[in-house]
Amino acid sequence: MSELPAGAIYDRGYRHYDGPREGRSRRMQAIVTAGIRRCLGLKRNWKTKVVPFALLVGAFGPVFAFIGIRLLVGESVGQFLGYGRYLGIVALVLLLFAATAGPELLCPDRRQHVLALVFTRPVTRADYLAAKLAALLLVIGLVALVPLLVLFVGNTLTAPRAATYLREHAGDLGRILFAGGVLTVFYATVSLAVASLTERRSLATAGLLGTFLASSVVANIIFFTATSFPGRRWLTFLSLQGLPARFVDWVFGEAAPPGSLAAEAGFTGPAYLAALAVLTALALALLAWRISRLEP
Amino acid sequence: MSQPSTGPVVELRHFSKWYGDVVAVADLSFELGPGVTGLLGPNGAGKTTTLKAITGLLHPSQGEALLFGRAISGDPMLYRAIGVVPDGDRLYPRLTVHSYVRLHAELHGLPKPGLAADRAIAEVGMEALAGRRLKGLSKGERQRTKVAGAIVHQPSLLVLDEPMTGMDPGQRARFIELIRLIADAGVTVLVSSHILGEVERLASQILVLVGGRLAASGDFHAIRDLMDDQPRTVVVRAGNARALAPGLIALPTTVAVEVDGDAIQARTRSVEAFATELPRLARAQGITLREIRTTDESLEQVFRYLVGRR
Amino acid sequence: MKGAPVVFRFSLGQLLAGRRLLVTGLLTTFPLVVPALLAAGSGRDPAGFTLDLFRALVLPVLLPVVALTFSTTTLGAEVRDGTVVNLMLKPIPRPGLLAAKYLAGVLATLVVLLPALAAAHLLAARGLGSTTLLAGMLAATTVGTLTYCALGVLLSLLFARALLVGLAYALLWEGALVSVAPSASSMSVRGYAEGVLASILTRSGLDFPARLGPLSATLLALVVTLLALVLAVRRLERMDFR
Repeated sequence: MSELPAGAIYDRGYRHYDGPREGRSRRMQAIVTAGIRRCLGLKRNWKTKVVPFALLVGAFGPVFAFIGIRLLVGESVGQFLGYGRYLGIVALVLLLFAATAGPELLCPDRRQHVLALVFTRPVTRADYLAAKLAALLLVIGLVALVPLLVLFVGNTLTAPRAATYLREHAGDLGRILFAGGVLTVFYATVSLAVASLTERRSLATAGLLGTFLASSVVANIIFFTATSFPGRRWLTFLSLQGLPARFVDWVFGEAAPPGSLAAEAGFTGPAYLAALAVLTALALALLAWRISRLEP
Repeated sequence: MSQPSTGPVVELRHFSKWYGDVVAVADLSFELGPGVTGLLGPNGAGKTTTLKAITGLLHPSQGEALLFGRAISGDPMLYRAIGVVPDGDRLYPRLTVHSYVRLHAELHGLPKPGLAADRAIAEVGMEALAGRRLKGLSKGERQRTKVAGAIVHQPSLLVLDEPMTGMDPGQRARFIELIRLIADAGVTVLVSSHILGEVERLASQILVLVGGRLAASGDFHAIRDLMDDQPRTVVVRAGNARALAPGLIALPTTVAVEVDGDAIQARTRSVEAFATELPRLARAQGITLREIRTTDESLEQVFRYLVGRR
Repeated sequence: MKGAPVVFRFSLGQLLAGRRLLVTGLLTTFPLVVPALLAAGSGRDPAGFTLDLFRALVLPVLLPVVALTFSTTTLGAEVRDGTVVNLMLKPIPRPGLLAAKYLAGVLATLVVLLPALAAAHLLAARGLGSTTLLAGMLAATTVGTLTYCALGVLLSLLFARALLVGLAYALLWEGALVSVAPSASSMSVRGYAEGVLASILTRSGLDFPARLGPLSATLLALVVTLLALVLAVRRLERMDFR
C-alpha cells in the first residue's frame, strides 16, 4: 500500500469574487438580450411564443410567399405590391407587435418588483432606458425592416441580371432603410412611453391599440363632418395610424388614396415626417420622466 | 359552527397529484382529528399541494380529500366550517385591516359583519392597526390579518400554510400563542411548516411528508420510539457513576458510555433494556441513582432520520 | 347565495376604483364628445353623423376595448395575483360567483360607455334628437357589452394574455370579416350589435344596413353569451388555483 498523501484542508466556503468584472456595456447588453428574449418568447414555453411568432408569420409570410412564386413563375409576375404598399399592409401587424412588445419589456419589471434588484447593480436609469429602447428597436426593426430587406434581396437574386438590378434599384434600398428606420423609432418610443404609464401589460396594450385606432377614426369623422371647421386640414395629424402611412407613401412616391383625409388635407411628406419626429420627441420626454420617477 | 358529522375532520384517501410527469404527492392517506396537527416536510415535499387539495383549491389526480366526510369540490357550503390561511400574499393592498376582515365576514354571509370583524381583529391582537391599509403592514401583521379573516366566521377547522415565514422570533412566539388559543377553543388546526422548532411547540400530532409520500404520522415521541435503529442518548447521574459504567457497557444494546464526574452519558439502542439493567446494577453495587433522562427527543432528530432514510 | 352580491359590489369597486373610472371615462368620452360638438355647428344631419360615429368608432373600437379590458381584468387579474382564493374559499356557489364577476364587468363597461354615447348624441343633435336612434345605439351597445364581457371572462380563465386574444379577435377577426366575408357576420359580436341597431332603426327612416336580422342577431348574442358563461363556470369549477 502506498504512502497516504499529506493531509490538506481546503477552504471551500463562501468566497469573494475577485475575477474580472465587465463594464457598463456588458451590463446594458445583458438587459438588451433579456429584453429581446422576453419579447420574442425565446427560451420560454410555447405559450409565450404564440403571439410574437404569429405576428412574425404575418409580417414575413407574404414576403416568402412572393419570392417563392417568383422563383417558380419567373420575372413575369412583376414587382410585388411595391415596398410602400407592403408596409401599408403590414402596418397593423407592426402596430400589434409594438403594442405587445413594449409593455412586455417595461411592465413586468415593475409588476414583479424586480426593479430593486436591477438598480442595486450600478445601472443608471438612463442606461436602463437606453437598453430597453435598444431591445425594442431591434425587435420592431425585425418586423419593419427585415421583411423588406429580404424582399429586396429576393428581387435582386431572382432578377435576370442581379448586378444591373442592384444598380438600378439601389435607391429602393435606401428608401427601405429610411422608411423602416423612422417607423421603428416611432413605434418603439411611443410604445415604451405608454408602457411606462402602467404596471399591467394588458392595459398598456389596450391603451395603445385603442388610442391609435380611435384617433384615426375620430380624425376622419371630424374632417368629413365639420366641413366648415377652420383649419380642419390639420386634423390629418390627429390620425396616429395615418402619420406613418402617409410618410411611407411619400418615401416611396405613392399618393394618398383619393378622397381620403390625407389627400384632402394636402400636406406634403416632410410634414408627416416632422409630425412623427415631434411625437417621438414627446414620447421620449414622457418616457424619460417616468423612468426617472421609478421607485425600485 | 357545529361539525356536520362525527368521524375524522379531515381524511385523505390515496390522494395523489401529478403534473404531467412530475408527481407532487403520491398515495397519501391519513385522518385528522381535533387538536393541532403539524404537517412537516422539506421544501418541495408536497405540503402545499396537500393543503390545497384539502381546501379544495386543487383537484386530486387520483384519490379523494374529504372534509367532515364529504368531498370539498362541488360542495362550497363546506367552507362555512373551514378557515384557510393560504401561502403567499393574496391581500388586496388598498383595503384596510378592518375592511379586509369585514369583507371575509360579508362573503360568509354573517349577519353582523362589522362586529364579527372587530371581534376577529381583537382575537389576533390587531385592534390598534385596524384602520391601516394592508399595503403598509409588516409581514407578521399581514399574517395575523389573514388569520383574522380566516377565523371571522368561527370555523371548526383552520388550515394554515407556512404561516410563520418571514416572521421574527418575537412575532413567531406571539403567533404560536394565538394558534394555541384558537386550538384550545376547540378548533381543529392543521399547520404546515418546515421549521421544526415551531411545530414542536405547537403540535401534538405530526404528519411528515418526504418526496410526496407520508414518511411518518402520529405523536412524535411515539415516532421517536419507533426509530429503534437509532441509538438514544441517556444521561444518568449517580453517586458512583464510574462503577456503573462497566456493567452498562457490557449490555449488548449499549453503543457507548461516557463518564464525566458523577454523570454518565450513554448511547443505547434500546432504552428499555438499559432501563431494566440500570436499577439492577445500581442495587447490586449499592449506588444511589439521582437522575435518569433521555436527551434527544427533539423533532429534529426524528426529522433528519426520516429524511435521511431514503 | 348571500355571498354573490358582496362579490359583485366588491368587484365593481375594484374595477372603478381610484383614477380608473376617471381615466377610462375621459378616454372614452373625449373621442365621442369632441366630434359631436364640432358636428353640431357644421350643419350636417346630426342623426347621420351620430350613426357614422357609432358605426366607425364605438362598435369597432371603443366597445370591444372597454368591455374586454374590464371583463378580462375582473376575474383574470385576481386569478393571476392569487387573490381569487379569498373568494373561492367561501360558501358561494360557483355559478353565482362567476355571474357576480361578469355583471361587475358589464356594469362597469356600461357606466363608462352609455353616458358618453348619450352625451355625444345629445350634443350633436343640440337637444333630444332622434330618440329612436338613441335607444337603438344604447340597446346595441348593451347587447354588445353583454356578449363581449361573457367572452372576456371566459378568455381570462383560459389564457394569461386574455385581453390580447380578445382584442385580436375583435380588431383583426371582426375587422377583417367586415370587408372580406360579409356572410360570416353570424360569427361576429359586432354583427349582432349591428343587427340589433338596424332592427330598431327600420322604422325611423335612417339607413343602416346590417347583415343579420333582428331575431338572429339577438338569438345569436344570447346563445354566445350563455355558452361562454356556462363554459366559464365549468372551467372555474375544474381548474387548479396556484
